[in-house]
Amino acid sequence: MLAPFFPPAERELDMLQLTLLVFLPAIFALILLVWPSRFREGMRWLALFGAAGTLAVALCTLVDYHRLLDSQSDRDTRSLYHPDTRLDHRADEALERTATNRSFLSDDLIVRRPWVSKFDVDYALGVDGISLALVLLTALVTFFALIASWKIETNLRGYLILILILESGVLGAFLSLDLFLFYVFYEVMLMPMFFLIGLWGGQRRKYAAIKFVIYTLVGSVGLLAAIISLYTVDVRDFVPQETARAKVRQVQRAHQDWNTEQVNAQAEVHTFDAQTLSKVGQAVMLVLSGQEDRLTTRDSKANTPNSVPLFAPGVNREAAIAHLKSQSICTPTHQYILFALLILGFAVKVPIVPLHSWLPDAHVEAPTPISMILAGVLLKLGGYGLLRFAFPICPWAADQLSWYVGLIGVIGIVYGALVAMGQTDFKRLLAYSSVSHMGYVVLGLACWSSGTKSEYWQWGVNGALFQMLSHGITSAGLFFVVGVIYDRAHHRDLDRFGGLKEPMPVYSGLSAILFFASMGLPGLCGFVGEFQVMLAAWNYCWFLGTLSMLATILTAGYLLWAWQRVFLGVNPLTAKYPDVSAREATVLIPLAILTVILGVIPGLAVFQWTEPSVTGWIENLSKLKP
Amino acid sequence: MFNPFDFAEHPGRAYLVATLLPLIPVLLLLFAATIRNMARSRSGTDSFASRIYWLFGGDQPLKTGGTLSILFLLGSFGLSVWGLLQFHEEAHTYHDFPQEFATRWSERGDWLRIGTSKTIRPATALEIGYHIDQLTALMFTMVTGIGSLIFIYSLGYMKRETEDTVDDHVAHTTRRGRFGRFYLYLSLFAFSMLNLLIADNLFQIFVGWELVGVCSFFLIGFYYERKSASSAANKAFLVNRVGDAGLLIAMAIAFASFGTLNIQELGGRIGGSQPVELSHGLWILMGLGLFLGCVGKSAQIPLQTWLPDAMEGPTPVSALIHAATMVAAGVYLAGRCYPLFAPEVFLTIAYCGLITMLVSASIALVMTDIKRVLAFSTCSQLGMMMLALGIGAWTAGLLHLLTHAFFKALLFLGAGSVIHGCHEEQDLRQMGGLRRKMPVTAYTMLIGVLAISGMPFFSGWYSKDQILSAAMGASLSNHLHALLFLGPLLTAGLTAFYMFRLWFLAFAGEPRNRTVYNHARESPWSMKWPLIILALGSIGVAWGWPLWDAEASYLGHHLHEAEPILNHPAFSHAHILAEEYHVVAGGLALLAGVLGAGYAWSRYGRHAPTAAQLQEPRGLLAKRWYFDDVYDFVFLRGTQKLAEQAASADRSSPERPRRFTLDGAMSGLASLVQRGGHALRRTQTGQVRQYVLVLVLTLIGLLGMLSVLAR
Repeated sequence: MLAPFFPPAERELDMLQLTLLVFLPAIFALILLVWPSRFREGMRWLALFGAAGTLAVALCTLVDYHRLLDSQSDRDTRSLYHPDTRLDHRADEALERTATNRSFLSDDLIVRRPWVSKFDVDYALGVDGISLALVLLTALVTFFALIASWKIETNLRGYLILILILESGVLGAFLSLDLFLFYVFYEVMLMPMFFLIGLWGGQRRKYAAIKFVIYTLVGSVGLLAAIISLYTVDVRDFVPQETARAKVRQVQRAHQDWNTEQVNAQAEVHTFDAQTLSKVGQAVMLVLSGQEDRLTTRDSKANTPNSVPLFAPGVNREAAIAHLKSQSICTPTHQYILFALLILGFAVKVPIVPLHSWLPDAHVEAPTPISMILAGVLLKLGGYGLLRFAFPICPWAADQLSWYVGLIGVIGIVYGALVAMGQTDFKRLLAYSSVSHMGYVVLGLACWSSGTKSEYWQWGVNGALFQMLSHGITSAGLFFVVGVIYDRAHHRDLDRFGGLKEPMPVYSGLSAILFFASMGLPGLCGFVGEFQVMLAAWNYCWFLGTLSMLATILTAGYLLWAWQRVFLGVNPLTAKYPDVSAREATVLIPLAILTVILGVIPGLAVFQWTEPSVTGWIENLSKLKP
Repeated sequence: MFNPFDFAEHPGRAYLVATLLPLIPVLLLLFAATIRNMARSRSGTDSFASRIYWLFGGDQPLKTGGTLSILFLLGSFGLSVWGLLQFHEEAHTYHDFPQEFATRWSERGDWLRIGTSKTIRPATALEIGYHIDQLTALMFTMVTGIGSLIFIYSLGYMKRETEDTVDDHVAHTTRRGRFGRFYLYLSLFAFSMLNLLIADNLFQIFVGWELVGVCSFFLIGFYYERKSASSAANKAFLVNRVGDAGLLIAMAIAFASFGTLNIQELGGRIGGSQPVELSHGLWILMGLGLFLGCVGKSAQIPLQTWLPDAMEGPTPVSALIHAATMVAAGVYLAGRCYPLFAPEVFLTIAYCGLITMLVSASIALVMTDIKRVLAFSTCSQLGMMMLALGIGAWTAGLLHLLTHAFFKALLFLGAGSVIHGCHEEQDLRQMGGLRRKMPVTAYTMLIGVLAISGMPFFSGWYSKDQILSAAMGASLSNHLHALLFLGPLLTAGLTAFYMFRLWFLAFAGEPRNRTVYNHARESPWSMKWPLIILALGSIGVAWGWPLWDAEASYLGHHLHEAEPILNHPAFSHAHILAEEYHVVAGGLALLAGVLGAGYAWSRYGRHAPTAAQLQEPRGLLAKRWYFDDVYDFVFLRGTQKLAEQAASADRSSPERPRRFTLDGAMSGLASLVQRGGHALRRTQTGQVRQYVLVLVLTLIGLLGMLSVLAR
């Protein structure tokens, strides 16, 4: 049916799938735009249907990805772990095919099409375990957020459209392989969120929305600066040589009077491709740490287990190293600044202390479903950015500064927990608990110990990724818990609740699961990530490790005191509250069940398909250190 | 495919099944409770919902839940008895094939695995598994056995909870009965505790450790309408978290140094002498971390304050969790991790146990609440076990753990029977003469009192005698540690005194409060039978032949087979001395017990004191040596103050106005930029443009900086 539109060489099924995954919510937003306003209830169902469709496509992608992992098997490695299935390998393959005009692979879950050729911007999407985990989380949380939005009445159409566009933006950001495309999606998210807080929020919504935008923009500026400076890097030795030669021909055509040297000097290849740039970053790390003899080309016959093949096949190794050294990217200052800019960009989203001030305001003012998305999904972009871009692109600076990054994480953990303990507003308490929990993500990523003990770092990174997932589920659930009680009490003052366990037993039971999951109780999802991060952190630095372990006492403290104030005791004011409605149970029960599943069988449920990607990530980076 | 019922090849899997059995009622009860409560809130309007509600018992609490839980736990008990017998048999038949024996009785597998390698490398897996030895087998049978008795006992004790509405006289409110919920928590506890016992690695122990903690939290706070109960629950959980942090540190050290958390492997690598992988300091720290976990769970000083408060929970809970099983898990873990400890850690364990033993026993002397006396007695007895472990008397300490479980469960259930019979009266000063009203309770409790006081031929005598002789050996081998013998000796006397005081005050003499006495009644048979069975256990569980030889205890012999072999010279020397002075130590202990009991008789038994003679206790002991007050002031208030300070330093609020806050500083920075923008443009055309301008300016600035610096 689609055949007439696609010439055989471009018939690529996964392109359809991934594009659909990203833009399906936006398509439904478009339908909503023209939906007759008479069918008001239909709007909600339509939006929900869109989110459900996206979730379904995401699940199909999970199945596809699993099949992709399974398609290669090797006697020496565990199944699902074949190096050829890793994202960087597939991305290289796709680049190669683009350069040589060969047909695209339909089953590699990589999409690459030129978008803005003048600036070498590609429409590049790709799936691996890391992004897929967060894509699934996004689809899931948005779906539940839409169920939670059933009570929204004012300007319903606009609200639903904005949420769906937001989802498209987030999904696009998680799937982008191209930095420019990532930036576009990253900014696309900003405006829906601004309006969702600013129009549907509480009393100080305008203040909160503007604060959110300013903080995020400051981060974005750092990101944009980093991306632009990365674009200035000449990557001709890292891309397929066909691309480099094409560039040379292009320059020759433009300046026919130039000699070869002039042409070669001018024929710089620039890219926004994150995988290529991360190769540059790794090469820089080797050069800066005096290990340039390990750098080789990918097709070199002399490759040993010790060598790091980063240059493209057919490149002259010595010339390439000399060329790399002559660029400013290969200076410590440039690396430090680049890393700092990327950290700034993503740190606002994580958020780290002291850039967290926007979060409590945004949460307190945002309506419940928006808080769910904010805590459940948007914060993860920060962690994802660190994992996908900051660390691989600037490994040298990341390694040099890893202790400070870890310290930032620990400060977030302890400070967030302490401030949370001093809150009287239920939502604000949860907002600060997010700061605390996301600190484990930063800490886990930072545990870059020596190359020989890389398995501990691997625990840290796995833990960080899992912590993002589990925090996404528990925080979305907990914000909904607050929403449920806010609908009944119309306030969020912890000191005025109490005694909810008796009138609302189901609600209390489900909340208990989410509370204890957030507290890191074994058997529930919060424990898995935190425990892994703690093991890694101790091995990295006893000081950071100990602090992160002692912080569990504070976490238990603020959550238990909140639990006592909200659910226990006797309170005549709350004694007549009705228990959860069917709609509310539809949100809470699946989330509670998920926390249990992820806590009991994290290996089967998550790690079996995320861990191969993390292993690849670790193997790329940890071998850079002797 | 993994077949959990393959008992012929892997008899150890019986324990696995027995562990998982109590989870079934948990899931059933959770499911039923959710449906029932969802239906309840709709039953007024929706006929289908009301039919469902009726199907699940209507307003009546889930009574079948109790029976179900009991049946499944009895199933576990049956399996564990079969396992115990099988284990003993195979311990002989497979004596010469240790390898096969190990594969039959232990298995392990990955819970999480990282890395590409197919072969097992260090630090790439978190494992789960079970490992059965004499200690596990005996503990498992004890927990399921005593657990079943207490489950049955609770049928009677928690009868009030089966009614539609229950009056809570303390919180002055009426509420629905919570019978099903009680058994839900109990069954979950049983699963977690059994999981902790069969675990072969620290990670799995930690999982069970935290889960029993959370069950204890819910059960202490069972009457959550009462502020005292919910605060006690919080206290228990938080204090335990401090201990758990120690356990986390210990696990991190073990994992970072050895790459495994399997206790057998760790024991093989360390085995009582300093391993090469670890510096001496870290070795000590690891041991101290492990022990801190045990201190928290077993309520040793300095983390002992939660246990007396935990008596806010229903009495069967106090008997099961806070006397017989969960609090003993600390001693169990210390015994399990025996080969991992450095000599300095053993010394710490011994003295920590000593101090706890004496301090708690001294407080128990003056308490007037029947459950508090028993709670402090539990602390004290656990201290005695810790001391035994610290001086190398592994078998004696764990034997005391097993015998103590019987007589302390008996005493608590007896106390529960008294409280139940006297309509929630817990004050000893209001009782007296109750033996005439509740003879079964009175005389079974007397057996418990005799057992805990270490009277000959009762189970407590065998274990206490062994501990005392080991302590004597330890202090004789090094006179610096003379206190390690004098302490337990004094405690033996104190224990006999306060236990007989309890019994005389409650059961002997004349009634001090007529209304209590007149309304008192003997408990139903569902409560009496467990008392009788436990009383029989308290007498004979440690017997051996010849009966008068404390060393001949069969239980002790079986435990001894599991004792880890330690290469610790001080211990072996002490052990020889202990053998030598065995009779002296035993005699002294008996003398101390008799003296204590006699003094209690002369003060409370011969002439029953009147109510006026028993005033409110005051002073250091009644204040529990001021531990609670100091902790409250330093840690609780301190943390809360710190939290408030942090909150107000983060941002100012109407309640906490403050000039300089982190939020304010960031906003100030923003407004500075804003003012700069104003100054640059001198015009104001709306906010969005401003931000775009700021954005562009900053971007230009950053890029400029980059290009200058990077050259």
